[in-house]
Amino acid sequence: MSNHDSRSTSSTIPPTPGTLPPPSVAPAPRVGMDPRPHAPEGWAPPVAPNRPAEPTEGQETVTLTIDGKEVTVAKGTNVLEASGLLGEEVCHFCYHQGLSIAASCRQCLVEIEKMGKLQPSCQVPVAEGMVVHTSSPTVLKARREMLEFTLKNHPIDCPICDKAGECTLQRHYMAHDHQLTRVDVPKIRKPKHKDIGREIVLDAERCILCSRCVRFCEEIPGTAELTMSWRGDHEQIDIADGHRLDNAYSINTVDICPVGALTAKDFRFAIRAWELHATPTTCNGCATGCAVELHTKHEQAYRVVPRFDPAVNGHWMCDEGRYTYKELDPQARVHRAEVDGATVPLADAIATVATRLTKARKLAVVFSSSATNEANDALRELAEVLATSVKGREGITATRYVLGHPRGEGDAILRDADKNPNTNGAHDAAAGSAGDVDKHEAELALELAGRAYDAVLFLDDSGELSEVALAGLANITSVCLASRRTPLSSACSIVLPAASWAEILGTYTNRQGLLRVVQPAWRPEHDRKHRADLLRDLMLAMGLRNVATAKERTRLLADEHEHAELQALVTDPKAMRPTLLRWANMRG
Amino acid sequence: MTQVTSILSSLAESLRRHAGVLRSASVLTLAVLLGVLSTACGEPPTATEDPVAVRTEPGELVFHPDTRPVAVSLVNISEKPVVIGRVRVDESTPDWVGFAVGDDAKPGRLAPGERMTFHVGVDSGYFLGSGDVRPVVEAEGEQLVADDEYREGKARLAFTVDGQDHGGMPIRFEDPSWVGQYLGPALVKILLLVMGFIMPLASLLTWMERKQSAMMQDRLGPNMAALKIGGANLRLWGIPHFIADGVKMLFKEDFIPRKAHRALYSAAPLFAFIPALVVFAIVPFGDALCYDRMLEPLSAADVAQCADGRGGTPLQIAQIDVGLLYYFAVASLATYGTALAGWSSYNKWAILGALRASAQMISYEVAIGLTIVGALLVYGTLEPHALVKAQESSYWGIALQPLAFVLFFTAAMAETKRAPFDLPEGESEIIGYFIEYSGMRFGLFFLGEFIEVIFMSAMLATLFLGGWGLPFGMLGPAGFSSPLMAQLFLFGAGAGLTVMGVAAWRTGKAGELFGATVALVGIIHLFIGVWSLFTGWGTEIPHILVVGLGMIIWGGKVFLLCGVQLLIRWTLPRFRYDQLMSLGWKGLLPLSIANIVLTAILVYLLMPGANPAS
Amino acid sequence: MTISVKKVSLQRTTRDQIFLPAILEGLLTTARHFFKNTFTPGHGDVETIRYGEPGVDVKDYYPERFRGVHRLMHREDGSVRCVACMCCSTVCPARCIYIEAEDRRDDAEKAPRSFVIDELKCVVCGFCVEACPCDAIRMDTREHWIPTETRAEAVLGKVELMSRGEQSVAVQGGLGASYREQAPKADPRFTHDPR
Repeated sequence: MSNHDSRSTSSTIPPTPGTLPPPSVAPAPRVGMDPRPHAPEGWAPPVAPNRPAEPTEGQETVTLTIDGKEVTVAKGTNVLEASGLLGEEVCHFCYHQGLSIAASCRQCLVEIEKMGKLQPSCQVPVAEGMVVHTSSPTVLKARREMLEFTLKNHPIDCPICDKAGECTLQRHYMAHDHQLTRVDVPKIRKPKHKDIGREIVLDAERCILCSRCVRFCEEIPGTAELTMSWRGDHEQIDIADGHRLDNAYSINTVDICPVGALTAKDFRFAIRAWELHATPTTCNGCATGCAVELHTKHEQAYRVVPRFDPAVNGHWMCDEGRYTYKELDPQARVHRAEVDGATVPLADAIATVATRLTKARKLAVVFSSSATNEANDALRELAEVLATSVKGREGITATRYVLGHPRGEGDAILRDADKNPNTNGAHDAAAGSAGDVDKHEAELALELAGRAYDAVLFLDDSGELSEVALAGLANITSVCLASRRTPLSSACSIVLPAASWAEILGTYTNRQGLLRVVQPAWRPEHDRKHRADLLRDLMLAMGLRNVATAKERTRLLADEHEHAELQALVTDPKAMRPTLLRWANMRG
Repeated sequence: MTQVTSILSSLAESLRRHAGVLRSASVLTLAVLLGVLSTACGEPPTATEDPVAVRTEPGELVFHPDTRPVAVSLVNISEKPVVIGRVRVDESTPDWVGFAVGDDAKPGRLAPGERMTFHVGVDSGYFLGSGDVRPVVEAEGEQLVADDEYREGKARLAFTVDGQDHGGMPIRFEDPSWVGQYLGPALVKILLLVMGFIMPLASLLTWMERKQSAMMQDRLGPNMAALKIGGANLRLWGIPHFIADGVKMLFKEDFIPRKAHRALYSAAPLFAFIPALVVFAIVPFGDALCYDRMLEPLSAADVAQCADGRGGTPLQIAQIDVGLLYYFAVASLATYGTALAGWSSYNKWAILGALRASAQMISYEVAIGLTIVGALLVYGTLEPHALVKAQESSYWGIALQPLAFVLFFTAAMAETKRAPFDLPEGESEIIGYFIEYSGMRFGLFFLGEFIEVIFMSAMLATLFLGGWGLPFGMLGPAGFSSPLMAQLFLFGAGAGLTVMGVAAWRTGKAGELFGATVALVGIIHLFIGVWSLFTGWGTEIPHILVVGLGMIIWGGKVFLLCGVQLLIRWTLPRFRYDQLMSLGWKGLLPLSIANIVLTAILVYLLMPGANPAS
Repeated sequence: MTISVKKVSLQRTTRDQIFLPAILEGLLTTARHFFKNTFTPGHGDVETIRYGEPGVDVKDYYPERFRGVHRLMHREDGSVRCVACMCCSTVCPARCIYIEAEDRRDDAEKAPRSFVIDELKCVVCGFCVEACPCDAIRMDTREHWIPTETRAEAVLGKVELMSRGEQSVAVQGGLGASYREQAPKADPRFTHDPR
């Protein structure tokens, strides 16, 4: 994905730095309101404002020479970003594409002809005819000396540092410095493992004072908890008096920290970064559908980090979304089909479900706003199949519901109050079927408690139903396509093992109506299958032919939305292979 | 002289120092040689004081119903000439009518050492049924026989020497039963050969192969298995390993692949194993054993008579006139074992191995067959026993047919499918036709391979190394003798061995004991040589000793040849398949044909009997 | 495009072509070894060390830098020196080291909650020792890994590994913050980079 394209498209609405976040959207009343989530009025992805690089049409351009090569960039671009167009950006610590310019690290010094001193390239806007040298002897020497200076008080405790392996300082040291220390006086001591927030631990010794985290807190959530205190050698990052770093986006400071000064409590000491495999996917924490990377090892997820997507989330994501990986807890997974409490082969369970559903007189199908479009579409198809009369069986029209996670807190930055990733898609599918209009959870709970149905099919295991409703499930044919043990899946009489969102290729429709792609981080083991494939098996067991597989549904969606990235993934499954972070570009 | 003394004293010193670690081979050699020496130390034979200074050869004449007239010799063993009177069958013996002396028995004068040969025949019809001279008293030694059976008869060949009546020669007529004549002796011989020699040696070879290869490669080899008898922990240089291996193979899982052809898969090891044992039927492992007179020295005629089956038995399980053809016939059956094993295993490596084995064995059988023709031309017989006798009376095959020896050795090693011809097995590439076999089924292939090694050694010994005999006729039917060639050999070999031994001994500490042993063997040779110079070393020893020594010598040759085969196996690398084929068809085959042509020309020119024109 | 082939004919003498002299030479060589080793007391050139024989102590033959069973070193206070940096488990070609980290709540900050080495998987390459930045893992026990009756016995935990260990006084980063007071002066030879 080209970062530069998208930045220029969304450069018109900057977030306001330094302001408090807007009050979070209150949970909406459930009945009688359009349940479909929409982005708040006037909302735009939190992408930094003034970062033109590649010129778009009609934009004023500037042509300059960098290391002997001519490059034409949009006016207002700084030298560092212009150098990025030619290949690797000039090495830097404090510059971040999503934040304002501080020019505090002095790592990106370059030589610009007709300027007497070396200039920080992140701060110098390009000018016509400018001649820049990024690797002249002077620049290299300055770069090394800046690094040595930066490292003077750095404790170099990489063995215990969580950032080791994805540390910008390490990378620059190996690339540009690579010499033994010349410091023979004691280093300055600063607080280590200082608890500064709900999610964050600060190690002030490791900090190189790039101020990225300070700028982030000021500019993105606008809470400005962090500040620089003291001076000179003793300067350090600290929390403002009486404040803790408790904003809803605080873990982003860990991601942007070029060293291990800020570490997330959740990820702290869990695993080394170089052991992780990264899978580009979509956060399923809320209707925003932020682009994220799922970091896993051996079928266990360790963290979720944001992935740059100018159309949705920019560089950031909320803390809440980062904890969605905990749903993938291997202990809670459902591996085998269960019928009336007994583990049975999947084919037998499918056959049982097919028999019981066709015999049902009053049937409800529950679409899920946390399941993929493919799964919801397959359920729609199943409902239509059941509604069709065939020889020897009369069609029954199933009542359709949409169930999902309960609503939560939202704000105007990224978080949405709807905590389901695919409410739009689920409602589209449910409404797409002929027959009843969709109903809401509360009604479902009431009707289940009242024994209104003798068969219910749940597409997903999420959703909160009352105890009474759950108790009602035990005595009827209740089928749950569950990927984990929840009160709902435990209450159902038949459980079909479904693959979790970390195991499938699928799509969500987010609140902007954009197609969001989830990719598999590992193959589903045991009997677990894509929900759409489970429903396909069910339809095949009912005697149907030519039912589309999950992959075919994905391909249709991709073609329909002309989603090139998704089309590529469907065509070439190898493209979905997770990247080992050890080989990927180090983050920072 | 002082040097010799010092050498001898340090030799003694060295021997004393290492007495505890003398290796089995040197001990064995020493024991055999010392045994020979002590036997030879008896009184040298002198002319008997008996007025009857004439010896009959054979000492006793035995006839069977189908016996042709037999050549009998009278030898003057005194030191003065004697006059032989008329030779007749003594009329006073009960069955004198049944025998007749030929016309070639002419009375006359015999110079010392001279011999008179004539023929004695039998009229077997006379002995059919109870006969004319039926004893009056039925109780005494009466033989009640049916009219179509033969009874036993006795007579005596009588003649006068210088007018005095000679003790003569007993003549016997008998018709032994099939069991007594053939089955019984054969069974005993099979037991003796298979249980007493082949199987122990084959088992030992499994150990020896590993131990010898280890020693060749500066390793230790098997040395940990031990026999725990009481408190003693007998390691015996690892020899118990073969027992452990046997037990292991018997108790291992007997695995049959699911898709294998079960019947053929089970039968294949037997197809490979049985022919390897059956071919031993034609191998002579000694001359002949005379039942009645084991403790007296016997003449060549006696032994020849026993070898003919009269009054004794040849030390060979089956005396077949077409002996070597029998070998080819049976040995080629072993190909079935390998081919079936490979095919029935349902394994691509196995079938590859089987194909290689079949092609290889067929190719090399041609070379083996043509190689032996040379020996046939020289010795004029296909029967192994006769071949050995022929070598005894002329020269060993290795001297007359050196090229054939090399060719036969090569082809025979290829027939055993061992390195450098182990392509059918090729353990580093395809494992071979027995890849799927385990347990004792594999054990049969394994053992069969070693039995083939023993058989090839036995064939080499029989065809080219004089079978059970010592070189230069040093061990005859009657005992030791030492003709000029033998004396030359003893002195030459003795001197050579002594010099080599001393040289090896002086080179360094490591070679000390070996050198000393070689030198000692050389000195013994010299000693026997000197002894034979003065005494002629002509010593008549009891028949049973001659037979025993012959068997030991044969066994020793086979053992040494096995060792040489192991040596070759662990020295030479494996051939490539095209090299194997080109060696067989472009090397061995033309050379063996050339050998036939060359031998034929030489035999035609040099051997008068073989030249029909002369 | 053609591939040019240079043909080289083998220069073989008659002696080479009849094979036998070369074969005999080979046989003589092997036979010499055979006789020397067989008939010499102490088996001549055989260098095999007779492990397991009475009177033969294995350790007498171990070289100076023999790599034995792993051990974990201690700090001054007897706690484990390892900081669970996972360098060893990362570099381990046999993947036989399993570490779970925990917070130490003191200056050293990080320590292994569990440190497991599967000695059955270990290939005794010594990479873990090379990789360790803290001198926490060593293989200088001179103990050969002895076969066990169950697999579980061959899986060593932190306690067993530490039971072989002793205090390490090596100066390295693993000491936490206090290493700075102990750090020696930088060697002037290495401070100047000719680049």
